[in-house]
Amino acid sequence: MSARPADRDGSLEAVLRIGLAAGVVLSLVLLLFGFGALLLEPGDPPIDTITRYPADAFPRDLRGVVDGMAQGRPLAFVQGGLLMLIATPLLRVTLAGLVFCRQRDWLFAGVALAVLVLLLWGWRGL
Amino acid sequence: VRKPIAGATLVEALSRRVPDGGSIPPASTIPSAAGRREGVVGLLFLLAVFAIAVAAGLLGSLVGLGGGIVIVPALTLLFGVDIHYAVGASLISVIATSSASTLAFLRERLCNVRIGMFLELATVTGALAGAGIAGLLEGRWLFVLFGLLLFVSAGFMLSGSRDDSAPDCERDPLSRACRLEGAYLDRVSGRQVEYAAVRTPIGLAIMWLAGAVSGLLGIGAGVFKVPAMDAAMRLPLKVSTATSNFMMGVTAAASAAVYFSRGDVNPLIAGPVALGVLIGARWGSRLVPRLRVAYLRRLFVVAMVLIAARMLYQGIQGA
Repeated sequence: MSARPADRDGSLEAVLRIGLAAGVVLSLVLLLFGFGALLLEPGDPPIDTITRYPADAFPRDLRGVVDGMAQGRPLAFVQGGLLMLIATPLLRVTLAGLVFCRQRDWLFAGVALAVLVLLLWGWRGL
Repeated sequence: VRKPIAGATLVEALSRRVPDGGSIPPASTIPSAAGRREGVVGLLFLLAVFAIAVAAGLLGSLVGLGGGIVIVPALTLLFGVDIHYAVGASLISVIATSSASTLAFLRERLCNVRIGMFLELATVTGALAGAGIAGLLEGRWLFVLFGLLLFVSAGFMLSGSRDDSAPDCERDPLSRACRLEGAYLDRVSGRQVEYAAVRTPIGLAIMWLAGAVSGLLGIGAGVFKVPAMDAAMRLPLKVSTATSNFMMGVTAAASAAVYFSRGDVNPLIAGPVALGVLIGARWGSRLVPRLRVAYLRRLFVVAMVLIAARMLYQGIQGA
């Protein structure tokens, strides 16, 4: 048994912290911008805005969100923020995997990769 | 079945889930004369959902449960929101609080990233299964399951104390091979506390179940994750709590993506819920040291049992 746990040097935590903070801040910015835009919309906010999605009430995949944001639809920004929030753990697992690689901890790099593959399996519909 | 807030025909349309292939009425079918009033009702709806989410996050962190266990009953019973939407919104709030609280826990060095990542193999698999099953189930069965979950959680809160009488176990081969161990500095005693996981296979099995419940009912499932690490794997309670918080986000991310692509993450519900729970939980974590929460916990258990009965009733009646 090794005397020194691999992540005691703290580099793993530091990298994770930056990734997490960046993801959370970006998603909050998108959410607040989306709701702000919804309230500033001409006409009757916010219900009118939704009806601009005739086929579907709101985008439910990455492409729909990006297209909606390009067209300046406030709800697409809200969905973008939510999607970003869902993506922060993905970022977290990726970063942890990279740090495990750098520490030459191949077993846990493999574990991180397996978790990432499982997560992406959940993302396949997006 | 309770009606959504009065007069809100469009809000009602939003609260109802759009079945696959279905659609929200196009703009042209909406009587324009009613537009102004519905716009205001819509805004009120957003604010009300936001306020409820702040309260859920606050209450959840005060009694040591996540916001999900409060937000799903609140959205469904108070607002008549479709339970699939409520679960989708709750999952997002779980991710938000997990990501935010992990920032604090990582600074404290309590969270064990290795153990968390290892156990995520089980929780993520469970979460994908749970999310898949939720898509197939009618809403009324989710009400029944949520009612049962509330009963179980109330039981956990009442029993509370962990069983310390069990003899210390030998480390299992898996724990040794994967070096599931760590150390942290205990602030009270000022000493370095070293620990290592035991009974890893049992921990993994409970984690799979926790993941499945999370994906099915939109909760963080800390109520199962913490005992899996603390009681089964014999990790220190502080480490278990911090690591459980860290894992919740990853677990919920797997199922949230499934809900998103199914159209069960409604921005008008999930947006205010994510922001509200995040704010409430931050506020609560700052209040906890200054409040005597034991009394609140007892009161909360009573409320949980009542809500559980209400949800079971609604499920059996056919929500």
